[in-house]
Amino acid sequence: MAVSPVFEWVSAELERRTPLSRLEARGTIRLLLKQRGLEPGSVNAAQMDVVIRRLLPPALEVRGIEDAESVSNELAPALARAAAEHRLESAESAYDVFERLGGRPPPEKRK
Amino acid sequence: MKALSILGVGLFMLTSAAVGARLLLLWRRTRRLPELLLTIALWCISVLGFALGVTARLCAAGAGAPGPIVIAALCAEYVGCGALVVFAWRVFHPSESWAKGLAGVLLALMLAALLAEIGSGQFMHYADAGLISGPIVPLGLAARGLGPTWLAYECFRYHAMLRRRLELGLAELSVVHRVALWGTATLSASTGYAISVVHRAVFGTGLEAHAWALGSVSLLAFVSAIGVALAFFPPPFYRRWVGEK
Repeated sequence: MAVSPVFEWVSAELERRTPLSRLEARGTIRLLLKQRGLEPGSVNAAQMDVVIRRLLPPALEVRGIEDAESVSNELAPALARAAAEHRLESAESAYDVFERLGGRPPPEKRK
Repeated sequence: MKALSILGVGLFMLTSAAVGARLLLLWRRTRRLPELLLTIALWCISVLGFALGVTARLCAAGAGAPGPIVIAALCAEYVGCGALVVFAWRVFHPSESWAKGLAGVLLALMLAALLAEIGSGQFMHYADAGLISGPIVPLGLAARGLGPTWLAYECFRYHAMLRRRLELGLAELSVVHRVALWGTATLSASTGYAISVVHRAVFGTGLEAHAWALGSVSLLAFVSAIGVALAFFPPPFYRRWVGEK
């Protein structure tokens, strides 16, 4: 299954900033996304930001990572920078489609 | 029962026509595939399919149903159900090869069923009150019902995912409801097809032969109309109720 550039970037960063292996880092992010109804194939930077800030610290602690809180605190702004610099855009998700089909633009696009 | 049937089907046609027109306008602005697919599905199944079907039945009551009208009605319905299959694939699993394969298989099945229905001449029994012979008509109905069935499954699966996102503030309630409402509409359509398949297989006639069958499908059409309207043409009171900003 194809994954979004945001998922790829965060998994790679988590692997780099912690002792987790590539498989463990990707698995950790995958599990967190699944728990909250998000998909690796379409997760975007805004959604991942919430996951990193609110769900990642306890998940890293469970996996024995020291200073899990600061890893998350550093990862979230780094993702925002990377998303802006490298244009980490995700494919249109089913949520985007149903939001548009309601006839009103998404909140951030409304004037 | 006839009044209930006219009310249910009439409301379904009117709602689908209005929502289809609204989605067509949206498509003119966005040029995105999902809007176009839904417009095709709603107009082909609910407007063209029903209108031509009723015309054929009215003709059948007089001098006899003209074959081309019945075929046109049938083709419209198949095209609409095919659009639902493509919608399920492109919206919920656009990059997954299994979904592409499943969509291909379902579309091929539908095409085969359409050709079999036309080739056998059994399609004329959609317009007249004659008994069908052989399994072609129930199989055709089943093939068409696969489109809404897959889509209903995908909508409810996705709805369960969106409910988990709500707790993190990663989904709007109105969108979560829209997915469930569209799922309800397609599940109603799917159940209507299932009833038609069983009825044709057991009795060999159209739904008009039994009040319970006609009533059930009319009620499902009514539910489907409400679901479509609230999902894609929500009135202001409904928007306020779901807290849409």
